[in-house]
Amino acid sequence: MPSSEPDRLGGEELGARLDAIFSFDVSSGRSYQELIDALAPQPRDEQEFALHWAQVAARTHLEIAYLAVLLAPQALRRLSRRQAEAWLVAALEGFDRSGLRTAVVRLRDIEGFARGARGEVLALQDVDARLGRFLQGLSGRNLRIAAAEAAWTDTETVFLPPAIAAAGREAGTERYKAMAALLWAQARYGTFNVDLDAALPDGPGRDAALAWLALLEALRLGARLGRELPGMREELVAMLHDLPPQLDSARAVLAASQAGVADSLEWLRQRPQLLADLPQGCGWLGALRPDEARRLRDARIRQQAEVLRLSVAELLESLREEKAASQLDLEADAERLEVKVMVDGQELTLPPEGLAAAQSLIQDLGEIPPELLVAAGEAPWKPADRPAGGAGATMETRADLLLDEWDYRRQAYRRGWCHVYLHTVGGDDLAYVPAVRARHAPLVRQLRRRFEAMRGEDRILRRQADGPEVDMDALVEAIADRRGGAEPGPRLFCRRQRDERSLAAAFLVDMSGSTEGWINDAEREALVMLCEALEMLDDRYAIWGFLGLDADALRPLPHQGIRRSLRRRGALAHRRDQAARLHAHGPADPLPDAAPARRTGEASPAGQPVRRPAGRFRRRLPQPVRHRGHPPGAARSAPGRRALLLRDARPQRPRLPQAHVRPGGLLRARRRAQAAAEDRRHLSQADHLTQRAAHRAKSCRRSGPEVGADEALPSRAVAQSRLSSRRRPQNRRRPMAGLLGGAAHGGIRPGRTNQKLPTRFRFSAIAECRQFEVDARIAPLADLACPGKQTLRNVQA
Amino acid sequence: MNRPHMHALAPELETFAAEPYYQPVGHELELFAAAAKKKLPVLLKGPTGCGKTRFVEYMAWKLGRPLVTVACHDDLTSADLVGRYLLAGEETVWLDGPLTAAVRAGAICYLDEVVEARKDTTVVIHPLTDTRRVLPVEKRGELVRAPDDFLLVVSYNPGYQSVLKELKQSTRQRFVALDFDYPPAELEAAIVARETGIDGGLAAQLVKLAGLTRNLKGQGLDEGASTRLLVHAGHLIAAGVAPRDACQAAIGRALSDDGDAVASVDDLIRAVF
Repeated sequence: MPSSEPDRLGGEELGARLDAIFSFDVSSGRSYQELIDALAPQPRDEQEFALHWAQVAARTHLEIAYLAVLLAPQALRRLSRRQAEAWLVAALEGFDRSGLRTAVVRLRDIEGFARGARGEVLALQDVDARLGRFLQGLSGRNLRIAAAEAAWTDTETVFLPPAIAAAGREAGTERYKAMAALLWAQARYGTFNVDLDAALPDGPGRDAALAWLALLEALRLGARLGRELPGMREELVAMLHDLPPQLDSARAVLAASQAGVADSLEWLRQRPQLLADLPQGCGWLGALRPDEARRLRDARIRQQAEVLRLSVAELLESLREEKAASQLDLEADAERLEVKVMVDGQELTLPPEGLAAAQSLIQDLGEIPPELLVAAGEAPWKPADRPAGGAGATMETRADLLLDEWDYRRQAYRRGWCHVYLHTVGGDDLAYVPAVRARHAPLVRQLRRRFEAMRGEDRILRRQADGPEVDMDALVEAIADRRGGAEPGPRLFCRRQRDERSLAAAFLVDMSGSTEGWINDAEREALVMLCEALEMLDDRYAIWGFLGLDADALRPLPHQGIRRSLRRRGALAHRRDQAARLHAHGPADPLPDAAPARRTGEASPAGQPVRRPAGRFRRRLPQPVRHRGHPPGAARSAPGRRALLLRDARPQRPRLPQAHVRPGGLLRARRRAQAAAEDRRHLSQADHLTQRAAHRAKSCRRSGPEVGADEALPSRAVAQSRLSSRRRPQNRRRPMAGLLGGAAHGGIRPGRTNQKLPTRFRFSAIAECRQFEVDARIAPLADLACPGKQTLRNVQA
Repeated sequence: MNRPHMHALAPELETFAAEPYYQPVGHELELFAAAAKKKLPVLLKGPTGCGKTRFVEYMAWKLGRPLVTVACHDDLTSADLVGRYLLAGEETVWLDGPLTAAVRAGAICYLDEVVEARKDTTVVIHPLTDTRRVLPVEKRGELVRAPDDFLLVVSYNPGYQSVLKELKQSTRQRFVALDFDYPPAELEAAIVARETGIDGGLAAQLVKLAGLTRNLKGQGLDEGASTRLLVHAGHLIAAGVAPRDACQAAIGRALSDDGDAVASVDDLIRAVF
């Protein structure tokens, strides 16, 4: 299409640009022409906007990219530039969380987004972190917030509508809080404490019975919450105002302080005529799904019961050391969640995990069954036997930490994208540390001497206004001055000052498969020697191992697209490369934390994407590593907190399945790389793609298919490919120099984030202590002789 | 030599004519009294604002002994505790520190937040806390023997202490330790109502709010609202401030500077009031 403005991209140029983005993979029924027709009349900056975001979205899903181009002109007419970016980011987030359908719905709902931007609609994602903390405050439990078309809860996750209409942000937040509180109250105040399956009729009226019961429970729980939390009463009354008139007679019954779910059921049982129809228009009060709730509730009760029994056993065991305990009683206050343990008339305190378990049981059962006060023996389940995390982590496993991760292409955080699993590794090779000390005795002595020089020594500060000792020199001068008629100085004391060090160091040890062999030996040896030095300085330190999970650690998922992408490796290894890159640019640089509002997933009031002004290197640090100050027990109080990354500089070699190495693959990759390289802004993408091309070429050469030679690729890619695949243990004799030097000068390659799968990291608390006996505490490292995935799995098992 | 200005610098021995208000929660009164009788030093552990200092004041009144309180801090030196020479005219005079003064007077010496002091400072209390019960004053070459009435009490908060400020085992294992925590809700409400003069219902709501904020410990807050903060809020309410405003000022803003944490506490305040 001819261009009317000289600056505007014409049809041919648009076609080339679109071809570079979509390659040949545009879904059937789509054509470039539709996109060209949509973009061609637009000004150049809007064309560039659409093409840029198409490129960003294409890394997530081509359909989103297609719609982004198609709808961008329309969106830019209704929204400001920043709002349009937020609209696209919201769609991509929808894909991350719920899949393509959500993303498409969000993209097409431009008007809805515009209303949200004007404050007429509040999105759940803007307040979910705040709601989570609110529920944590109410319950003491860490309940998850998730989006769903209907509001309901399975007792561990509170599902709320993705957006609600509201007269403003605060009003919308209050409405969301009331909805979440009502759902939380279902679990807290006994809705699931009866067998609803048995209590409700089977057959065609069951759905209606559940729907009516949900409304009755909303009435009961609304009244209960109104008494417990008077500040929410007004909002709850407003929510419950427009219930069907058939429920009017239930209001007084269920508002009684002693009303329970049995009253709701009884009221419903006396009115079978209601079951003929579903109540209308009250979905936001919360639906009931007793099957889902019962499944999770039963599992939780089993777990917490075992924890409590173990705690009781621990308590009694400690008492037996003093005397034989005979009578154990436990008093529970269901209202205040207070638990008293009395042993032979003496009040004792349960261990913290036992107390939490008892409170959880009170919430679920309303009491603590007496049989749980029988101490457990060798119970099959222990608190330490966490089912989540570790090598057995799956996509369904609940992560210990969900962290937002910055996507520099989107210029926005991916919420909850990074899954972190914490677990403890064990080990008993106590001979390892002495062996390292003996092997590197000269280097250890040298390190100790150097670090000893850094220790703070007492300094005597003379001529102070106050101090424990008199400064005799100053005193003599003062007396002389006075006798000579001069005014004596007031600073006549001296004080001894010792500059105490206040440094906390966290060692983040790469335990990935790429460190297997001499690199890992060097890592561990360096760690032992660094800890020796820190012991000398009396500094605090912690040792954490991290490992990115990949397809091998995940179960196949039903979604075919995800399953395919699971096979693609390298994204996590790539993140580690970027971490080393940051390290190379300044390990002492305070590691960047997101601004508070961003860290917790709050969006700006106008729904704009949160922008992060930090440079490229800062945002490339893996989120779990950046988050190192937050794991439990991490030293927060030390003014000088440093994280030191111990890792290899060698990127993990991609293992491309044979099925992916097709002759056309290299050609496509090379073409995309060259196309991307035309734009200087996308050099990193070009680098990555050319490297992939190089790796594909090498893989193909090994396996036989006819592909082009390396020489046909850009020379930089070839060089990087060779560098990254080279193994040169030249620093083996000097582990620290090798590690730090390697991190600073090793082959670093730029690349891309994995756009389709959440980042999954496993953090292993190897040791977290200060002034410990190195022999005893560092020993677990020795068990990680080859910290590849298989070895770790064994350790965990 | 009469030196009134030097006298003004001497540590003050506090005596309690009136009974300080303290509501016992467990057997702490009996334990403390027994430890005092047997001349055993006492370690009080508990979160901030749960009543440790008030308990010591109450016990000083109950036992009829003077009390010397030292708020420990990073710059506290052993000379600050034991004493030092000061200049008066052209001569030096010795001034007892609070610890020495308490030992000489047979008082209760209360070192509040003892872990805040440097370890080389706290070592000075070791000879006082075993069977020797003496305080060496090195600069004077004097050995001050503690009378039977002298009692050393130290306190710290294990919740927010850093490992850097951990109490050394050689210090810790010299004390009888009493655990303190926030009182049960009913008792805490009674304390708040008694201290502030607000009615019981309002005090119960404040305690309810405190319980909710304590659920946020570790989720943005290092500690939940203490009884002390509830008393502050109660005083503001008694002075006519609206409960929400009083709680936001006395509790929400006092607990954290982090915007998210403050917003979370505000949400809970709006839910309760």
